[in-house]
Amino acid sequence: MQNVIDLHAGARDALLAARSARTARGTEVSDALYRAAAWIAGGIGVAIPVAILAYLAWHGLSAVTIEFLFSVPRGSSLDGTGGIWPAIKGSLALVGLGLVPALLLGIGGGIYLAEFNRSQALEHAARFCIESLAAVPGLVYSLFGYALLVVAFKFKISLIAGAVTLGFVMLPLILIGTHEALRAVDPALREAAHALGVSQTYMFARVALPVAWPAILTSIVLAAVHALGAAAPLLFTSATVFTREPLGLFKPVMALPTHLYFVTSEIGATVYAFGSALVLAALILGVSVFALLLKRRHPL
Amino acid sequence: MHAATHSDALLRNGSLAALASAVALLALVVGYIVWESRIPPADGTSLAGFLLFDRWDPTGQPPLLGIGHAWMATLLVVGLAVALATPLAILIGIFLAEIAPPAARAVAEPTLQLLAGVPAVVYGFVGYATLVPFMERWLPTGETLLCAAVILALMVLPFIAATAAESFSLVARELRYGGLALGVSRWYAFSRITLRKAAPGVLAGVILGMGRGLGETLAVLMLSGNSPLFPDSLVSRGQPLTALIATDLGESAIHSDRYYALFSAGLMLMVTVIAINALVIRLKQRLVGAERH
Repeated sequence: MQNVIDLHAGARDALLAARSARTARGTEVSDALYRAAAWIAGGIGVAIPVAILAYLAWHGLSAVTIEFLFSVPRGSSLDGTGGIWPAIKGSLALVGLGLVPALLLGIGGGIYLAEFNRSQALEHAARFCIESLAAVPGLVYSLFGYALLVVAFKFKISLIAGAVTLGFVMLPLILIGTHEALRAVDPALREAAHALGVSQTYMFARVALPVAWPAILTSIVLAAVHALGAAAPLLFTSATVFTREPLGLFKPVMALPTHLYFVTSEIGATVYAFGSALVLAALILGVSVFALLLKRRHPL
Repeated sequence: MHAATHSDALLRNGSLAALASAVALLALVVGYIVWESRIPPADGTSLAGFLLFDRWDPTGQPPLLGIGHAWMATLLVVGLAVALATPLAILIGIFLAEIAPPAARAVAEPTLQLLAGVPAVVYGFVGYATLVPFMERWLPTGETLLCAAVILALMVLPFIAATAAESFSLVARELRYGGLALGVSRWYAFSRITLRKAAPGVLAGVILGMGRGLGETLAVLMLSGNSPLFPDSLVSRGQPLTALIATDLGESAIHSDRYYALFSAGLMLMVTVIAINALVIRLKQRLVGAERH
């Protein structure tokens, strides 16, 4: 009887040992696969934006000359000759003008939430509204801008209507960025300032702002860059296929993203279109990299 | 002292006014879109016809204003895009949260942020120049819902990946290391511990991706074929909701039935996206809340 049990135990031990050796090898293989899959996925994630830029550069770099950047499209409509200067100018004007209200309300609102507000309920409610505003698609802003600014206010399709609509797109991003940046300031700094009895304004200007400004600036630049690439908000508010006229507040304008859309739908993926896409993508990626580096160099 | 309190009051009231205006503007956007909408859009049309059954034929006799085809196309494109993007996004999330050494993460994270920053119209253009001719080799037309979905998958990828990575790294280390110490494989530990704990966060990312996809305009406008018919398959042309609005508003007379129909479509889009946003916030709160206990 004892022998039988020993035999059993021996067989069981052998079996267990064999199985654990097998699972150990299985685990090693599985772990290697797991790591490999994660590295490949990470590599793909990094490769996509690089590939997009490289692809555009490959086909479009030959089109991008000084003349392409700084002259107007030739011909009576878009036929793929001449330059894109009116679109560049229009985009800068739209974003620049739109930034005025977006900065005022965005930075101001962020300051109130971070520096003065003591009510959790208000913070949650305000953040919910602002985040909803940030989630609303650009096309819906375009509808809104069309109905209110273009039709009801009789602005017509114009630079001012497009700029205000882009302001709506940028405002929630800037407000959230400002709030987050100020909130991330080390509370010990604030407590120390508070203990010295300085005023709220002094604390904001001399303690919080010097620490938080790079993060605030980064969020402003990223919001501006986002607006620069957004075609949907401009579709019904300011966009025109072609204009030779100088910029005017109440005149329709060309812009880089809408220009790329119109060019593609009228003449297809020509070298001229690739050049326009390259300028837009390089501008946006370049400025975004600058903004991210700024934030990294000055961590909170 | 007097000067200090004066400037305090100025900063406080000024910034409060800014916050109040920002919140009021949201109310204005929502309110004005509601004001300009009519559901159903015209006398003699029904809600069911508008949403589901009618064709979109605003110039026919009688004019038909149904947006069912657009909802169908939107659901197909967004569903497929999210389905394509999610597995890769989860793997990228694993990479960022568990596998990548700090130096690799320092490159990968901002690069994904850049990917999220590429404008929609550039994605649309790249898809138009690469995917459309590629698909034309096999299909009668390259501009299909499938084509739009593939490009849209790239666009929502960084959002899902970032949210997944964030929720994976919120899972307590002790749990993960405890599992690994038992000698199970990393995949086993991930799928049985990390993924289960982080599931609400991953779901939040997927839903966030859907919200982004729903409102995406330029890429689907350029790639989906933009034809107002009920799509019968993924490789047929279609016209997602945003493409319908973008195409037709310019041709609609102000305050015509067609205009109201398009604004109603926009209203539904906005309400859906805001609801999705609220859901994402709740899911994330639950994830963080669960970690505290």
